[in-house]
Amino acid sequence: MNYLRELGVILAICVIGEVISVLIGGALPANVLGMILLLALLATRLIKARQVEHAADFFLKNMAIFFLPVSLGILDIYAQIKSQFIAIIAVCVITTFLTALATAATVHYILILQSKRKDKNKNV
Amino acid sequence: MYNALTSPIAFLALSIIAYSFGVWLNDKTKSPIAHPLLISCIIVGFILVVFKIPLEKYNEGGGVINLFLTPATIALAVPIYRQLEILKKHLLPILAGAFVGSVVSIISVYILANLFGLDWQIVKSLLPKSVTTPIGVALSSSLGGLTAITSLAIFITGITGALCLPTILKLFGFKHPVATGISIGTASHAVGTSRALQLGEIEGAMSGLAIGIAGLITAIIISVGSAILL
Repeated sequence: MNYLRELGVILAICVIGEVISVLIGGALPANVLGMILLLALLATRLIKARQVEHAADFFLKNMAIFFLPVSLGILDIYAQIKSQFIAIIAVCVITTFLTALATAATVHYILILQSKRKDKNKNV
Repeated sequence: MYNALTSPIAFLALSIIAYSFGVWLNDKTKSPIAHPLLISCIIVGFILVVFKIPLEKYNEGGGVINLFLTPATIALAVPIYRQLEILKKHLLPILAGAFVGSVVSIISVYILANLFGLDWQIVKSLLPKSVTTPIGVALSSSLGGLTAITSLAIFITGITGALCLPTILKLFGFKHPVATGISIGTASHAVGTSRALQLGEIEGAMSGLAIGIAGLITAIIISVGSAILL
């Protein structure tokens, strides 16, 4: 394994993602496009998992530190949002419950439908 | 002296040491609240405020960390690839669940945030709050939101999911591990997934897959939606 080469591959995909993002007028962020591109390259075996996975695992394992500078931005805007802080927390908590319940209900009914269809196929 | 202690390398070192301490504390306490990002944010934030160091100065070193946000997101493709067989097996429930969850998340944030009278810029920052931080922050910045708020909101969402969702889902009668896993991953990304992994292997795998899938679906909904509406 060669971390530097793996990093090179991932960075090259970043650049391609940036280029595509500009070409489509910024409709999707470069990092999302790069992620789709890497998944496609892996699925079609144009890139083998072992050619990127050590560098990728390094990023995944330490993912949260890459948000430290962004998160510290709160220091500069705290005064601006102070009065809305409680409301922001409330929105986050309530919508998390709604999202989870809607997702669970959807999956629940699809699983029931799928098992019914399977039963029907068995009876025929 | 001041210059040596406020060089880009010094802030890089401070960030990494503070984060490593957070990882250690998280391992020790096994609590989602002791999240390395929160711990490191508090330590570095405290030092910047106490020594009156402007954020710009910090970012001379912090910017180096920022640079790796995009490659870190791209790395998310690897766990999806590793779970490709499970994804194929449960394709419909995962796609449908993540899609409905993403739509409900965006719409409920929009309605509630407006109901609470939040500023429009803050509403925009909250719209992608259910997805994993790299995707959420990128979407927020493309919408013109405040990325620091998005990061904070995503963090609160993750903690809420990890602490409450297993109980709430059980309370509403959702017991199937596939439903529980997809639900936790879609609603509360990687922080929730760390809890789903403790519930069981299927819950963990489903939740992990839902992070990436819900992130992609949310990115597409927000990008298409903002192109049409804004």
